[in-house]
Amino acid sequence: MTRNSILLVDDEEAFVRSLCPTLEAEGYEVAVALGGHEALQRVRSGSVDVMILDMLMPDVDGLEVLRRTREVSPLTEVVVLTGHGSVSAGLEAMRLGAFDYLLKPCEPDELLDRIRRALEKKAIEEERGSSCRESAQKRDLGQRS
Amino acid sequence: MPLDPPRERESEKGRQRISQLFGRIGLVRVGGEPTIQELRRKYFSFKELLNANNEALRIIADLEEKLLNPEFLTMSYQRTRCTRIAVEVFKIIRNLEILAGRKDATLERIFDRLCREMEEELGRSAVVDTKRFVVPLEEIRPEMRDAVGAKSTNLAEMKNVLGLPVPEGFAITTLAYQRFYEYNRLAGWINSVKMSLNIHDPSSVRAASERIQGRILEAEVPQDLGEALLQAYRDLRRRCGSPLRLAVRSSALGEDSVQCSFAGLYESVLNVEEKGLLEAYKKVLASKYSVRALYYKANKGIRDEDIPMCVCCLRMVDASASGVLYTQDPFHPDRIFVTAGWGLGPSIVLGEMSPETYVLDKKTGSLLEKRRSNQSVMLVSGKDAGTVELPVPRDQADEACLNPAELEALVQIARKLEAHYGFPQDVEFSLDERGRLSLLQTRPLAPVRTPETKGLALADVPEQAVLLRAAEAETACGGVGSGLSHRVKDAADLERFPPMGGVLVARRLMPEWIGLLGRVKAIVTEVGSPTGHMASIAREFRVPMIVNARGAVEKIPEGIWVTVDATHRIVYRGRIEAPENQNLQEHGPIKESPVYKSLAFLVSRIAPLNLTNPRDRSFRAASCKTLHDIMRFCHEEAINSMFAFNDTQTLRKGRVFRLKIPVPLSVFVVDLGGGLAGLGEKQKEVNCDQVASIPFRALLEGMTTEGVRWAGHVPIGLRDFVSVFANTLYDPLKHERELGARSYAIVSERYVNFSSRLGYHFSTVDAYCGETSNSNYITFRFKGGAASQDRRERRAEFIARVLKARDFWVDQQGDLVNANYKKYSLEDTLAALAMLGRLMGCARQLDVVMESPAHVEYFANLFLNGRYDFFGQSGSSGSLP
Repeated sequence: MTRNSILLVDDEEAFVRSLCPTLEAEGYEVAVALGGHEALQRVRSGSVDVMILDMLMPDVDGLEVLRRTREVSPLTEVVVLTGHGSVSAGLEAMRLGAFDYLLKPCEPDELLDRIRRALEKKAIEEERGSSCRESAQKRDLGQRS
Repeated sequence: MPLDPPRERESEKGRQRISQLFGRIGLVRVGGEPTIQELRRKYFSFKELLNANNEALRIIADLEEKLLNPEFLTMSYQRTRCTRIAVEVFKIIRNLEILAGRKDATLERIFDRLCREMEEELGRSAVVDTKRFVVPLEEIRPEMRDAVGAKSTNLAEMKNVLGLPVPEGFAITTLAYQRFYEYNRLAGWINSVKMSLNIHDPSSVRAASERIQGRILEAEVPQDLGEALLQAYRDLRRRCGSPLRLAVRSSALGEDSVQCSFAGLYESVLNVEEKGLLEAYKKVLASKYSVRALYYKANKGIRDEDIPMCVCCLRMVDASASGVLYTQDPFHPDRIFVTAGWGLGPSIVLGEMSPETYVLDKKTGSLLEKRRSNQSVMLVSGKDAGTVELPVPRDQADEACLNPAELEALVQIARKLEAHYGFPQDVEFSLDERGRLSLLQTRPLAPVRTPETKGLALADVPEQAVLLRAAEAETACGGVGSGLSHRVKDAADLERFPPMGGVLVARRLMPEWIGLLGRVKAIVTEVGSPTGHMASIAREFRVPMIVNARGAVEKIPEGIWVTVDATHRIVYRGRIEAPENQNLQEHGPIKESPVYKSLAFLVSRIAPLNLTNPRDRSFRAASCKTLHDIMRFCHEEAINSMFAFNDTQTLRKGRVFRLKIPVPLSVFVVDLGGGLAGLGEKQKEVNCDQVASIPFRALLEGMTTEGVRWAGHVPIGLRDFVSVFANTLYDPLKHERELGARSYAIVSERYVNFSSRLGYHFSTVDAYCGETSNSNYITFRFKGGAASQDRRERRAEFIARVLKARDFWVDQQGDLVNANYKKYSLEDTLAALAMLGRLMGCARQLDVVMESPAHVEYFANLFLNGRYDFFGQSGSSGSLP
């Protein structure tokens, strides 16, 4: 069975490296992107199940990364993890389709819990998507005969 | 929480039949049976909504408590809480949309408006976040307070705005603190150590303090942070010249505020050079967990997360003399009060000796009083790092530390500071060999109102009763206290301090006395000063205290009853009744402060609950005035959607069943797969023995235990019961039903989510029993009640106590209880579930009768001993305390 893949997106390399062992210990496959462009590349090329996204990055604004990720790969769930939150920033991210919006410092347990829930949501949406396709096929078959 | 694995899904055939019946892609026709995928999706949203709701309730409880105990309030606290709750409520609304299948424009409009209002309020007091680890003093602006701490901000203000002589230096920010903590993964670990700490057991406190401090000192400073600190040192050295020594001190958020001085509780490391800088930084961070800091925080109810530790590094002044300036004497508003001693500051502020004191007239600046000191040793900077104690040279010992010119300079500074801050200040200063003044710290000084001078009726007390009336004694904190006298020489004596309380008599005061707060009725010391840290803390906690009372230890015998009149500085033998209002009242402008007012505004948009009764006509989206209203409304709507209570057709055809259960609850069950078994074709009600869900069976077993009475009139004999409700024939159950009391259970073979909302309170059990112990868990939440706040809290305490005794991890805050039981064996988990079932039954109407704290213990013991029938059929309940 393939492992779930998590993409960590944050320009603070040391922070990101310190989070990897925790995630790997849970059995996830972890990749790191130190900037927005790199993150979007990975999203387009491979499958990213859950993205942990920082908002303040030098190359591309976090919100932009969020928006494009949701467009390109709607099944990828994004959990924002930022040190500089505000009410409006939080709501904006949520409206763009973030699964959750967390403030640093964040307890590892809480982050793991959100990742689990995000994966669950992804599974449900995938299931829904495939059953939709099945129903459509059957209906087409039914209509033809 | 993972759903059950694929093999438990509905069969292929079943799915085909359903999609054939309904044709439409993915949608559920009104009146049709939902597919299991649809149900799962709905249920997922439902759970997300419940989780968000729980989290939001926690934040509300936190905010409400902050309003009551506003010490330690920062803007960053407000901003983070508001951001979090806004996000949680957003999730609630979003998930409700999924559940209900439509948007509610009114709800969204109201939510947007409330968030805008909060944002505007927060924006008014903007917090500048920093991305830097280090900020030089010259660059600090007032808005950066939450990034650099009060000490640094105040010093910067004195330096940059008022042009007062403050040494050069830099602040180490909260970002640095966070970096250090995250890199070493300290937060979670520290929390777990603190959870096992028993604040009433001194050895437990000491052990926890040592462990935590040890861990911090051993931790590594991450490279980027270390570089930044050393670079700051080098930059400063370039400007000030070699050699450069620093004073490294704490500048925690909320420290040095009016209600919370934290005076002397954190460590300062003096005379630090480059190679000792990182170590000194860690030492200051570690001092946040010293024994005295732990006691102080426990007594003030302060939580760690809200006080990140910033550090202030100042160029070390080679002080020949140091002192403290109160720009207004706390006991005499028309005076300025100065203390001074030879050498560096700590000997004075730590109360190790009696410094020189000067009392000056505030208006004219003229010297009114002057007292000599008894200083024999002084602290100076060592040649290498650190400090050294030296005897005061003979010629200096006879001289005054401050000459008239220096005093005049201090008076000028006092005036300037008060004009600027509008509030009396407690200022630390130093003089170098050439008499140049440096200011090292300033913080607000809470003025205290002294009791009436007639105080104790002195004429009535026979002169023989006077044990001590020392001429040079000073009042550190006024008022009267009496108790058994107890002499304290060392830490061992502190631990032997009588538990029922007493009067502490000592030569000098050790900071560890803070562990005795609550027990100490008064303090008498032979040295010290009203400007010392111990005095500050005594005033904060209003413990009457006399300092500088020479001969006290000899004159006050051990173990006799004494009365201390700290206002008049007399100690009497025996217990003498003091007239009312002897103890000090503090002027607390905290509730007038902008920060507090801001909090009050924000809370008014968040916490008050207007929508209480779902059956009432006003229970609609348009009536929501606060975030709490929105939460309540959405919670109700979510339940209706999930169980389609409003659509009877769907109810008939859906997968919702009513449970036949011999307790007076309406329970509805939704089966996600494998939770129910052996159902007939048209069955709408299920019996308990048709429940296949393993955890739910255990819960039900507990709920239906013989002796556990869910129902029943609490005996009329209890007078409070009658006083709470107007009619003697009041039936709380009927009332609950009228309020739409319903319970529901969502089950599968290994899972249950049981939620009971009974009018005024709710409880939730969420449990999973997996293949291995590692995946087993129970989460339990309980909140609310019909009775008054303190009774509800006692019921919550009863629940917390029982759960703790049964090995649950418990967090109780007011009338909210959160608990969990994780990774135990299947057997233990099922037993715990049965216990919970019994507990829910027994707790149901307990809040009404929780008259006193003793009731908590009483009922807890009954339950833990297996006696569930609290009130008995005969109406006798045994002897209630």
